[in-house]
Amino acid sequence: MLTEQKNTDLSLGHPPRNPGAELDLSWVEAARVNRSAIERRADTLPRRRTVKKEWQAAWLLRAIRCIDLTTLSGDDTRSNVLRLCAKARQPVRTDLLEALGLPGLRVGAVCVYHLFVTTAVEALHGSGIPVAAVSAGFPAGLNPFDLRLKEIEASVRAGAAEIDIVISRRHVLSGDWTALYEEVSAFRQACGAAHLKTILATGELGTLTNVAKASLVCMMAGADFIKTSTGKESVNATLPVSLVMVRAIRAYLERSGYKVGFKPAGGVRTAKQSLDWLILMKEELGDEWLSPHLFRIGASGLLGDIERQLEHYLTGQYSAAFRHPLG
Amino acid sequence: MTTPVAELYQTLPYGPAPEAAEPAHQWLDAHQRQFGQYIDGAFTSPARLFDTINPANKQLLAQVTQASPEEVNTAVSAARRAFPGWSATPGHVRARYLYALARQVQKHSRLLAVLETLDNGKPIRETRDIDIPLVARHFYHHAGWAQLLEKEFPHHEPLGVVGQIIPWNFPLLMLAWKIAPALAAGNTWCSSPPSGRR
Repeated sequence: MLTEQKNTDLSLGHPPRNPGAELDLSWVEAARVNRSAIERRADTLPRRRTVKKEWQAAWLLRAIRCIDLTTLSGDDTRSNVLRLCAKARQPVRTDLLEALGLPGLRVGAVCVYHLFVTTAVEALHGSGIPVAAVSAGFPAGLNPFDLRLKEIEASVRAGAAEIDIVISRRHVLSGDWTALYEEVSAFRQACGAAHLKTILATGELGTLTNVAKASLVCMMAGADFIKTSTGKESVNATLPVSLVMVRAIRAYLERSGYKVGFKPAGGVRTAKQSLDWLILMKEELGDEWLSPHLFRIGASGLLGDIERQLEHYLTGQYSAAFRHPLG
Repeated sequence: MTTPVAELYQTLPYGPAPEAAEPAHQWLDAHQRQFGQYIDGAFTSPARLFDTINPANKQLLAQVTQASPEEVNTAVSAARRAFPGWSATPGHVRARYLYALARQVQKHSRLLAVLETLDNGKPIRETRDIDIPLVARHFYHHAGWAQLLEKEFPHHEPLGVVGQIIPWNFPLLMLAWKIAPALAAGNTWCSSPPSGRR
């Protein structure tokens, strides 16, 4: 059993946590994004590298290891969440995983509303899978500030190891970087030992330059992860936006020496898309960002498609989507 | 012998991306693997041949004509004869020819990339993703300038016949990079591929 754990748990350890830094407004103001260059790079990235056959199977398994298996719907129930947690423990059919040589594989985390944190923590007990909670007034982030803080504290008390918060878009759109910095710093304090993922809701930030600036401010305020979207905006994770964010992560690493993680979320539904994001991480930040410590994919429907592709790799045939329970 | 998936999972390397060389070899065969000089719109018959090899496996790719001083003179006078007509062609019309060249490069980009790799020995990733797309871009870019030349560069005149010696490292790209602006501005040209690749 120990060797199995070693097989699926990548040997890379957790990098030191980003402690944050003073708000450096001159750095934020100096951030610029060349939209055409970003779009061209994002367009060619997935087409320049080849990940097929057994490489594809290995990459897809790694994508599963990095999934934040998510349910964030208005109609969530306790049984939905329990089913999701069962899927997190056993993301792919047992026989498929055994044939691929990774029987102990599990997902990166389970991501639910605050209300279901206790349910998920109980259901995942002993599996080592962390529970992430979307707190602080998800998805609009327009709840009263003290309530947002209290929601984070309550989620941490309930056992959430990771907290996904939404930033106030209005601070970005009005260029009030100090307010954004103070907001995220307060959230980070409220998180305590729990890891903080800041959702930028990039679909609502207007420009890529705003995305770059907001990414920098969040990292200065102590974010452990920066995340693209809530999944509730009309435009969610896209490759150009992701490229801007991972370059901000690289800039922050170069200046502070701390590694911040990245999480695309929303709209990642196909196995092919998950490969595109893995390629982006490998090309722009290196192999260390291919581990769940520094990379997560927020998705609910992705796992089903990956499971189909893995079955195809093993059997040469595609199964109907309904053959695989819950994606 | 395939690597086990569980092993690849640990390090996540990229897979190989082989590119079939057959179409390029068929194209070479269709030309009997012998090439003359391209002068005045037509190929001369192959003579004074030297070998060009695939540096990866040292196999013969084709035989190419070594130009004689007479042939160089013929080429230059042909270019000189073409100059009055081409330089008097309106910029918009010159642009049409350059756009057409760019489209043809794009249309045959795979063949050109494989040929360039076979001949030069550089990775297919480089010719496919850098050399050939840039060739097309240079033609597109300078086609645009040809259109705007009279307005943006008034009182500028073409020089005449441009001679070009291409280096070995980016053969087709260097050719395009230099002749696209020369043609756009109304010059005619003669170029010599790098003899170091023999």
